[in-house]
Amino acid sequence: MSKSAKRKKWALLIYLGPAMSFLSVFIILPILFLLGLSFFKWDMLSGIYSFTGLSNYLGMLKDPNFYNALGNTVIYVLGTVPLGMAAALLIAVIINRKIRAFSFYRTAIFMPVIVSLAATGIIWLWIYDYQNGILNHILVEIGLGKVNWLGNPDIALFSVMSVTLWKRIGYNMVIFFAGLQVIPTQLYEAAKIDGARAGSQFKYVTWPNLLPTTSFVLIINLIFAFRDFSQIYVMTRGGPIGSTTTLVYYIYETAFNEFNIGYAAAVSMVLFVLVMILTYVQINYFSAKER
Amino acid sequence: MKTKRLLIHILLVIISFLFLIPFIWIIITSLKGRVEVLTSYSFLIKQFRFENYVNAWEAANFAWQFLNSMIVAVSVTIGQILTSALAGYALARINFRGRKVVFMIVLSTLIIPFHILIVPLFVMLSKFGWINTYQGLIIPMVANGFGIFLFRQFFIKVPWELEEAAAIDGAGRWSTLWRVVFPQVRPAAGTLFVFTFVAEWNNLFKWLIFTNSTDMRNVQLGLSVFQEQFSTNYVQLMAAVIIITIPTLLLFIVGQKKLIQGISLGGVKG
Repeated sequence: MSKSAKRKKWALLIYLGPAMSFLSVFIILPILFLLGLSFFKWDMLSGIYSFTGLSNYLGMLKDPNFYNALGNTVIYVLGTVPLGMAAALLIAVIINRKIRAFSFYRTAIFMPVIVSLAATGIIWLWIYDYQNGILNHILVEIGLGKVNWLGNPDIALFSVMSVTLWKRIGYNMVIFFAGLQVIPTQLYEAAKIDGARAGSQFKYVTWPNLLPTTSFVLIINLIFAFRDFSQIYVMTRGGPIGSTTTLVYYIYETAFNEFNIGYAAAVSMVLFVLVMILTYVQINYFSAKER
Repeated sequence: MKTKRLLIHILLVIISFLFLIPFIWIIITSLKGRVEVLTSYSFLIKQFRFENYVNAWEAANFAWQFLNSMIVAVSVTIGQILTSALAGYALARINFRGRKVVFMIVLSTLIIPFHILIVPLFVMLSKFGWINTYQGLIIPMVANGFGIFLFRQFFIKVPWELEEAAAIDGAGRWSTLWRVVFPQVRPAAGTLFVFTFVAEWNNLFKWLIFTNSTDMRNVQLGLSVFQEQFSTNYVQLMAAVIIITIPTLLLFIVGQKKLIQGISLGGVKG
C-alpha cells in the first residue's frame, strides 16, 4: 500500500471512527434487533415467542389500521413539510439583519422549540378545548359556531399539524439563518454593483448558495415528519377513532398498548424502508447540484 | 420605502404574537390562583400571585435537577459537536470508496424514533449496568446523524482554496480542519449547539426510562411533582415551566447575537 493510501485509511479511522462506532452500538444495533424481532411473534406479557417468518409483514397487507396510519402519515407529511419550509425560508431571509427588533422576532418564532412540548401541549389543549377554549371563544364572539378541534375526526389531524408547524417553522428558520451567514458577503456586493434588486439577489446569490442548507432542511423535515410522535401523544393519543394515528404512533400503540412487539417491529421496518427510499432519491438528486 | 418597512414590521409583530400566545398564557396561568385557573380560561388575572414561583421552586427541589440536566446536556452537546464535525468533514472532503454508503447509513440512523428503539436500548444499558448513571444518559447520545449531516452540508461549501493554502503552509489535515475549515462553519456549530442543548434539556422520555432513582431526575421529570394524584397544580406547574426555560432561552438569545454577524446587504432593503 502506498504511503498516501495508508494515511488516508488512518484519517478515515480517526474522522469517521468515533461517530460510526457510537451510532453502530446505540442505533444500528437496536435497529437490527428490531429487524430480527419482525420475524417473530412475541407476546410481552406472557413472554412467549415463536418464529413466524414473514407473517407479520403479510398480516400488514390485510390490516386496515395500517393503511389508515399510512394515509394519515402521508397527509401529515404533505401538510407540514412544504409549508413549514417555505414560511421559515421567507422569514429567515427577511429578518437576516442585525436589527434589535429583528432579534425579538427571531426569539419569538424560536420560542416553540425552546419550551418543551410537555408544557406547551397543555396550553394547546386549552386553546383547542371545545367548551371553554380560546379559539372557540373567538369563533362565538364573531358569530360563528364552535368547532370540535381535537374531537372531530375530520379536523383533529389538522389541529395537530398546526401545532407541528408552529414548532417547526422556528426550527427551520434557525437552520436557514446559519446557511445565510456563510454565504460570502462579496457575492452580495458584486450583485449590488451589477444593479441586482432584492428579487434577483435572492435568485442568483441566495438560492444557489443556500442549496446545501435547503436540501438539508428538506431531507431532515421529511424524516422528522415521518417520525413525529410527541405532539400526537400529548394532544390526541391517536384519536378520535384513529384519525390522528400516524405510522409511528401506530407502532407505539401496537408495541406498548397491545404488546404485539413483533408486529410493531415489522411496521417499523416498513417505515424505515419507505423513508430510506425517499431520502436516497433526494440525496441522489442534490449531490450533483450542491457543490 | 418607509411604508414598506413599516408594513414588514407590522406583519412580523403579528406573526411573533401568534407564536407567543401559548407562552403569554403560560405566564398568565403562572400568576393566577389555583381555583381561578380551573374556573376560567380568561386572560385576565384577578390577583397576581408571585408566590407561585417560590412555592414551585421549593416543591420541585429543582437545584439538584438543574445540575443533573446541565451535566448531561453539556456533555452530550460537546460530544456531538466533536463527533459530528469529524465525520461530517470526512463525508464532505475525503474521497473514499463507499462514501455514499456511509452517508446513507448515517441518515438511516435518523429514521426510527427513539421512542421505538427504547426497548433494545434499555436491555443493552441494563446489561452494561448503566441504569441510573450519567454515562447511561450521555454516551448513547454522543453521536447523532443530524449533526453529521449538518456539518457535511456546510463543509462542502467551504472553498477548497482555503485548504490548499493551508496545505502549502505545511499544515496537516487535522490542524487545517480545526484552524481553517471549522471556523468557516461556526454558524452551523452554533446551531447544533443550541439544538442539541435544547433537545437534551427538554428530554423527558430518556430520563423516564433510563433512571428510576429520585436522585437522577432532570428538570422535566421534576415537573411531575405538580401532577398530584387527582389533579394537576397548574399554577405552580406553569411557574416551574418558566423557571426551567430560562437557561435555554438565555442560550438562544446570547447564541443568536453571535450568530448573526449582520449581513446588511441581503434580504429586503429598507
